[in-house]
Amino acid sequence: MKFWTSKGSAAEGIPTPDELKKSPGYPSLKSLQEGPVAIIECIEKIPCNPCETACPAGAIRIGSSITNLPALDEDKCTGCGVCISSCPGLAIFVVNLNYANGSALVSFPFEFVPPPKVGEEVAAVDREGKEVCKGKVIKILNKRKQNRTPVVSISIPKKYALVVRGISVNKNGSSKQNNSPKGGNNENKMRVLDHPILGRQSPGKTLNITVDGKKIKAREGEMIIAALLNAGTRINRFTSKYKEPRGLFCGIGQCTDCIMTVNGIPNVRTCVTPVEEGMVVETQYGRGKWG
Amino acid sequence: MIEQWGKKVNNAICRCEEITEQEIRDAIRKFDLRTVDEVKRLTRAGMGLCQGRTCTPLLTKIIAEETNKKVSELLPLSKRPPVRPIKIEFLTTEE
Amino acid sequence: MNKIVDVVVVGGGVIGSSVAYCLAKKGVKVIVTEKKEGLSFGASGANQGGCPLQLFESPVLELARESLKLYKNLSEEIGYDIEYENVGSLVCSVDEKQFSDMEKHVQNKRREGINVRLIEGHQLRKLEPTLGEDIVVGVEEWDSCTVNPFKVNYGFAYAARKLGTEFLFSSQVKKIETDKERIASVITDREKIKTNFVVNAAGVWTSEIGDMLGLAIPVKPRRGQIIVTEPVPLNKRWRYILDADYLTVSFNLEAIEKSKNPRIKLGVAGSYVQENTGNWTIGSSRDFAGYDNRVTMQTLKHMAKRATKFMPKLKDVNCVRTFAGLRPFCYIDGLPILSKINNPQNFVIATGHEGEGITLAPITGKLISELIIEDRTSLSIDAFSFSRFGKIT
Repeated sequence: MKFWTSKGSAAEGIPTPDELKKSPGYPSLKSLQEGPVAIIECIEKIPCNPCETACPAGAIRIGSSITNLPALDEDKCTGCGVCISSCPGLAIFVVNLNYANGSALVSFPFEFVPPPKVGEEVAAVDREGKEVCKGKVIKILNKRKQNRTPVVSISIPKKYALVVRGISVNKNGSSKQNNSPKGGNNENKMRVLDHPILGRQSPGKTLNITVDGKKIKAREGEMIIAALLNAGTRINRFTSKYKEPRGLFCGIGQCTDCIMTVNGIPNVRTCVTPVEEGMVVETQYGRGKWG
Repeated sequence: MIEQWGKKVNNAICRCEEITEQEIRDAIRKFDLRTVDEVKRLTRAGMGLCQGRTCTPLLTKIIAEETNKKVSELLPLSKRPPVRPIKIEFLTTEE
Repeated sequence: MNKIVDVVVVGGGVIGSSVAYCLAKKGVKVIVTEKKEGLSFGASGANQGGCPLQLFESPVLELARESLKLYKNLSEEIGYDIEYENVGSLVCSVDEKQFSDMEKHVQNKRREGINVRLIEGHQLRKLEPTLGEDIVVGVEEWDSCTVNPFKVNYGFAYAARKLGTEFLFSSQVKKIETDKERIASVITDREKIKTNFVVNAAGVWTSEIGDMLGLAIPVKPRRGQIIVTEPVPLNKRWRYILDADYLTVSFNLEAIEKSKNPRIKLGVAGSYVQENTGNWTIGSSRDFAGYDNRVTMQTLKHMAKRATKFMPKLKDVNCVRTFAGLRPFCYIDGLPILSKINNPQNFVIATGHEGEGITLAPITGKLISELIIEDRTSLSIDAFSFSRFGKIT
C-alpha cells in the first residue's frame, strides 16, 4: 500500500521509509519482531544528544561527534520508552509488534492539549498527518520522567505499525469551540490580577456590555477584547472571502483582525477601543452592515 | 528555495484581503513585478483595512526571492495619510 | 547596451502600454522605456478607473464612444480580466440653480446619440436610498463603465510582451539623437536604442521629452486628490456618481478663476466610484501645484464635505487612505495631443488626456498605431493635432 507522497526529508521535512531504514537508529526487522523496541527516526545530522543520556540501559550511542546520528544497540534496548520524551525533535517511538493478536502498540510523544482519554478511539495518522486507520488509546504516561512531554500509546492493526506515528487532534478545533461568551461567573479567568512588575491591579468599576445578545461584565478602562477573552470568546469575526474565523492577532490596533461591529458601526478595532457601559458588540460577518 | 516553499503556498499573506502566497507569486511571475507597490495594485494585497501593515514585510521577502534581489534593495510600500482609519466626518472639520 | 527597434514608446502608463500593444499586434517591434521600476507610476496609477461617457463632448466624444466599445471585449482579447463593469453613471446636483443646466445637458446628449434620462430628487432617493436629501435632480446614463486601471495597464503590457515588446524599467530617456529631420536613436540611463519612430506617452513629463528636441509641448501637471474608504455594502443602482459641477465649472478655467468659492477654486467636484470590493473612492480635485503629488488638508476637507452632501452616510465611514496624482493637462485648450509633428518627422505625441486617460487608452493605442503604420487614422484626430498651437512662447 502506497502511503508516501513525501519527496523525502530534504524537500519537505518528512522522511521516506528508505531514508529511515538507512538510519543507524532504526532497528532490524528481527528486533522488531521480538518485542517492544525503540525506533529512532532521526536522519538530520545536527548537534543534539539528549537521547544518549536519557536511555537507562545505555542503548543509544551518539559518540564523540555530537552531530552523529544516534545508533541503537538492539540487544540493550528494553523498549521502556524513556527516550521518547527526551527527543526535542519528537523523533523517537517505541513499537511493540507483539502487543496482541493482530494488533501492535505504538508509543509516541504527544504535546497537544487537551490529551486524549485512555480507552478513547482515535484516528491514527502517518508521518504526513494523514489518517491511516483507527486506533485505541491504551496508556498515557505523564510522570516526572517524561518532563512535560507525555507519551501516548495506542493499539492499531499490526500492518500499520511502521507507518502510524501519531493521532489526529479533533478536527473541531477552535472554530467550533464554544465561542459564546460566558457571563459573570468566570470573573477573572484570564485577567492578570497580580502582575510581576505592574503590581496588583485594583478592581475598577464593573460595566455591562452585550456581546451577541449575551450580557457580560467588563472592567472600566479595559479594551473590549480583554472583556471578550475573559468571557471565553476567541472569535471576533468571519472574513468576507473565505469565511474564516479571526480573533486577536497583533493586539496593537494595526492588523484589523479583531474588528467587530460595535453599537452598529462595523470595523471597530476591539483591541484599542475601551469598553463603555451598555456597549453592543456583535460578531462581524464579512464587511458588516453600514451603520 | 522556492521548491521548499512549494507546499506551503496556500497561506494567506494579506490577512485583510485574504490573498494567498500562491496568488502573489503567480502575479509576480506573470507580470514581471519588481516592487511592493506593483504587487499591491495587481493583487490587492495591502489594500485592505490595515493598509499593508501586516503583510508588507512578507511581500518584500517574497519579491526578493522571486526577483533575486536583496530585501534592502526593495522600496517599501508607499505610505500615505491617514496613519490610522479616521471617519470621513473628521476630514470635513479638519483645519 | 545597444538595441535596434521599430518604435520606442516613452512612458509605461496606460497610454504607452496601449500603444505598444496595438503596434505589437501588427508585428511591430517595440521597446517601452519607463523611468520608474514598474508601470502605472504616473496618472495611470492614481485614478478612480471611471469612464463617464455622458461627460464627454465633441471632439473627444467620438473617441470616447469608440474606446468604450473596445473596452467591452478587451479582457477577452488580451487574455486578462480588467474588471470591466458596466455601472453606468449618474450626474446629480445639490443646487436648485443647476436644474436648467441639467435639462440642457439631457438635450445635448440626446442630440449626440447618448441615451440619458432625467430623474427628480425624490425618485432618485427611492431608487438609491444612500443618496442625500440635498440632491435635487440627476441624469443617468448606462454606457459608462469602470475598469481596474492597474489591470488595464498591466494587461496591455502583458499582452504586448507576449507579442515581443520589451519593457525597460529604470530607463529614463536622457537624450534623443536626430539625423537631418528624423530621430535616429534614443539614449536612456543605460541603453542606446536605434529606432524608426518615437512615441511620447510620458504623461506629465511630456514637455521634458519635447525639450530634448527643442519642442515646446504645452502640457503641465494638474493635481487631483482621492480619498479611499473602507468597504461598505454596494449601492443598489448607481456606483458611479458625479457632481453636476462637472457640467458647469470643473472644466472651465475662467469660471474657476472668477469664483469666490474656496471649494471651486481648488477644483473640487464630486466624483464617487464604488469598487466591486465595496470601497468608495472619493474624488475629485483639480489644482496646479507643479509636480507635487502630496495631498493637502484643505482640499481633502472640501472633498469630504462635498461627499457627505451627496451621500450623508459616508460621514461615519472610515477613510483608510488618501493620495494624489498628476494629470497631463494641455493648458492651451484642454484637449489631448495625438499627432505627428513636422520636425522631426518620426516623432508622435500621445498625451494631454487630463482626466480622460483611462477612458481613451484603448482608442489612443489604436489610432496611434494606425498613424505610425498607415499614416492615416480610422477616426479623425485633426482636432488633436500639434499644429493647432502655432508658435508657443
